[in-house]
Amino acid sequence: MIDNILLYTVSVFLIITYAYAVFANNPVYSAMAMGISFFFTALLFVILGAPFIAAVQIIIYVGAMLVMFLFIIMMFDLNKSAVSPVRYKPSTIISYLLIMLILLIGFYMARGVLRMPEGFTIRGFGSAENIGFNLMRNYLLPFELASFVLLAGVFGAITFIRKGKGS
Amino acid sequence: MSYQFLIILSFVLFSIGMIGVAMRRNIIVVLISLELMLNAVNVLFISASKYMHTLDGQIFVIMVITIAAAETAIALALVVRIFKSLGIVKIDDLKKLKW
Amino acid sequence: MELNIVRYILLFPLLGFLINGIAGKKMSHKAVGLVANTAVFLSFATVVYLFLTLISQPENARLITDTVYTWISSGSLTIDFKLMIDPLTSVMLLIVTGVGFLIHIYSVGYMHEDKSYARYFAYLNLFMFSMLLLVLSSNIILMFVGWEGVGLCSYLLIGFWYEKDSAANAGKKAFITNRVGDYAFLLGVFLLASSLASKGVLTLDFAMMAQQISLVPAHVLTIVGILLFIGATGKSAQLPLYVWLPDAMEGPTPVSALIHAATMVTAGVYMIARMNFLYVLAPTALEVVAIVGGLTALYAATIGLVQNDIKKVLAYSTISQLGYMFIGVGVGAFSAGIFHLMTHAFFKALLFLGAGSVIHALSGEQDIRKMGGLKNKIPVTHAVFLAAALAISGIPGLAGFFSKDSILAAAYASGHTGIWLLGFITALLTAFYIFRLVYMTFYGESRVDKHTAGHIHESPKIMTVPLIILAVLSVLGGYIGVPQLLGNLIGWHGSDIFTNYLAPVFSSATGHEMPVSTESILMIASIAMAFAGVFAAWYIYLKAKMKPAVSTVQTLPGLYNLLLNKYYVDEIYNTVIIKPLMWISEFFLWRFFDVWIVDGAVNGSAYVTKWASTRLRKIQTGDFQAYVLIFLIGVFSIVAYFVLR
Repeated sequence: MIDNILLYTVSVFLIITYAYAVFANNPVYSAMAMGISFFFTALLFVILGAPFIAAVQIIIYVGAMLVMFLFIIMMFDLNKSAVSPVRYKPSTIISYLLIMLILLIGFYMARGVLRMPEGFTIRGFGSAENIGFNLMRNYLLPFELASFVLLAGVFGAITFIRKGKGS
Repeated sequence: MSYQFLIILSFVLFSIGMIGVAMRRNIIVVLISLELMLNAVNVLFISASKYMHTLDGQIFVIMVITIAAAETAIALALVVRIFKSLGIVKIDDLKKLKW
Repeated sequence: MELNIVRYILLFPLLGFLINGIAGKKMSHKAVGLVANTAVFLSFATVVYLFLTLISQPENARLITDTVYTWISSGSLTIDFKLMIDPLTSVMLLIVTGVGFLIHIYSVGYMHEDKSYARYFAYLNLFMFSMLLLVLSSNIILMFVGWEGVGLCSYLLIGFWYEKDSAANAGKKAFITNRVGDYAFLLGVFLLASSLASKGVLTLDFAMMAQQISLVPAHVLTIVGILLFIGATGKSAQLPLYVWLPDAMEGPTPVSALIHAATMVTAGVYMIARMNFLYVLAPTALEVVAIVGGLTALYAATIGLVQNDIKKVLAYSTISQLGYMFIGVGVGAFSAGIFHLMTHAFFKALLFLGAGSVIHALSGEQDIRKMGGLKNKIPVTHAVFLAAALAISGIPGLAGFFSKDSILAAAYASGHTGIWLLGFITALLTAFYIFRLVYMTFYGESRVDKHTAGHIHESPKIMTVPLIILAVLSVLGGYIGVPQLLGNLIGWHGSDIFTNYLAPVFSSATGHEMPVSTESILMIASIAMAFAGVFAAWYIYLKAKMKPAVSTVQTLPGLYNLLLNKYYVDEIYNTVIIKPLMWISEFFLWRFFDVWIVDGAVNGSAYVTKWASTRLRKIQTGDFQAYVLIFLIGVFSIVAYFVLR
């Protein structure tokens, strides 16, 4: 019962922060709202039995990405607000309508009540230990590949940001 | 607790992010919206992981987070590059790749 | 008996070809000649060794095989790269490597000034390889590889001086004409293979086929035999596919001697002899072989009467003599045909090489009207040429007499009187035209240009020694096949060594007996014909100084022109086949099909692509939000598909 109340509350806050992040005029506000939404997502993950992922979420998204966004915005003074943050022209409006349509279809597809299993008994489901075992046993190859993707990301970022020969 | 509710929640969150991508003109905000979309997917994964009693969903979320981090780093580097060389902040000004 | 050294017969010429073909340009002429000659000599030595091994075996076990590897394996059909030496093969091998070696030596002297010296010897060695493969192969598919190989080398060597248009065209003509024959040959092989396979016999090996051939119905065998023979008419220059051989004289003279006289053109005869087990069961096909051979013999001999190019006369003589060989195999006297093949290889190679020596002496002059009186200036060439001419005319005691006579005797004995008559008349014509050539070249008054007359010289030793060896062979070569009739006179039983040696191979062929008196009369008649021909040539061209010839031309200009222009066959082929083909190629295939259909399709697709992309590229607005919209449309479509499904 407490779970349910918590879930609904978190959901409401999530939607609010998401909406604010998307529609705020100032990019700094957007970024801050995104950070708050990450906290709420982490809370949701704890409710759903994934404490380790919640911790990772906060560490990476808030600790690294949010800081990165804010850093870039402030460093280059990107927060000069445009006249209107949202662009209204035929293509964007059709996009908006299509998104709404897809959303409606999603609602239709998700019809029928599916209940979460009650009385969760597996001890330490979603703990760092279990996930670690799983990651190192069943998912070793994807895990290593992911590390290579990160490495590539690092190289890519450095290459782009560096003063190239051309400029 | 209802699985259906969580599915709809992630759907709604994903749509909000998509609207941001489709309609905002600030490049940074577009990127933020992209991150939000990824996060909405993570919510769905975690819910499914709980519903199906397996850790695979959570593992997948770790992968998504990894990719998202790399993608953000590169995207922001690109933004910096574009800003420095072209002085462009608004995405509708970035029309070099046309016919 | 399995002996692994058989493969070396093939290996040496191939190595020689590779060395001269790859590195020949950088090597000195001496080294090139040494490599090529050593390769052929080693091959010849191997052949001699194997021949001695073979004849040391008992008569029924004379077979040496060498399976190099499995070449084709498809289901239950296996074709090995397998070489085989039986008495027939060994005779062919000795001719090919022996005469080939002599011609290689001769070439060293004849070609020494040519700038493409290495290329010449590389081709020559490649030819030796192909020809030996043809002869050695133990199945018909491998034989076809050699068959095509010699065709290729023939093309390369005829067009050796490709800067000359006539040489290049002659090469093409030879190749294309041969393709026509090869096409029929392949059809024959396919038909044979499929009809054997339908009886459950999956083999193309000669020995295996010989055992199982009787399973195939006779009418199929007849068709197979005729198809294979059409292949032979292409390669061995018989009617109607002989047209390439006279033109092939554009190649270097040793090549004419080696390929277009002694070895390659005999491939057709060899093939029919090799397939004797098939032809014996297809008498109609054999009949066709004999008739075509007889007609060709007479036909080519008549053209040879009036030609003025020394090499052209010899070319038509070759066609005519090949006709004799086909008469031999066609009337079932396979060993007589092969015997004539061997003696012909000796004296025709000698005639060509002698002609080459004459041409060499006269700095390239080939027209016999501009020769004459060379007897004392080039005595060695004259002597050997005369020996060869006597041999080919059928003068008793020389090689040609024995072989020609055994063919004619066999033709008569088997009841083919008409074909015998053709051969009989041809014998007269042969003696006549060859001595016309001798008298006009070596005797009488000199008609040589004053300019060239100054430096007429005998060829160097490297050219005359092979000539002398060939002359000895031309004179004595016939004594291994003395007809039993003559052997009986001196009490020599089994005098026909050659036929007895080949007998195991041709065991399926049935001989014909005829009374001793008939045979004697025939023999005397053909001797008379030979002398008559020689005498007529002597009278017309030497005694009467060509006056009778000139008056005949004046009284019968139509006949003379008909012969001089080779019955206008080239012109007929040109009008009936080549012109329409060219017309179709130009106006249908090129101007219409290629320009409109092929190019039209290519240009059309390019135009459609261009037209579509000028319109489609408008999608590429560069506008991020527009891309998102298109992406969303895609997402929507997929989602909608899964919902509405």
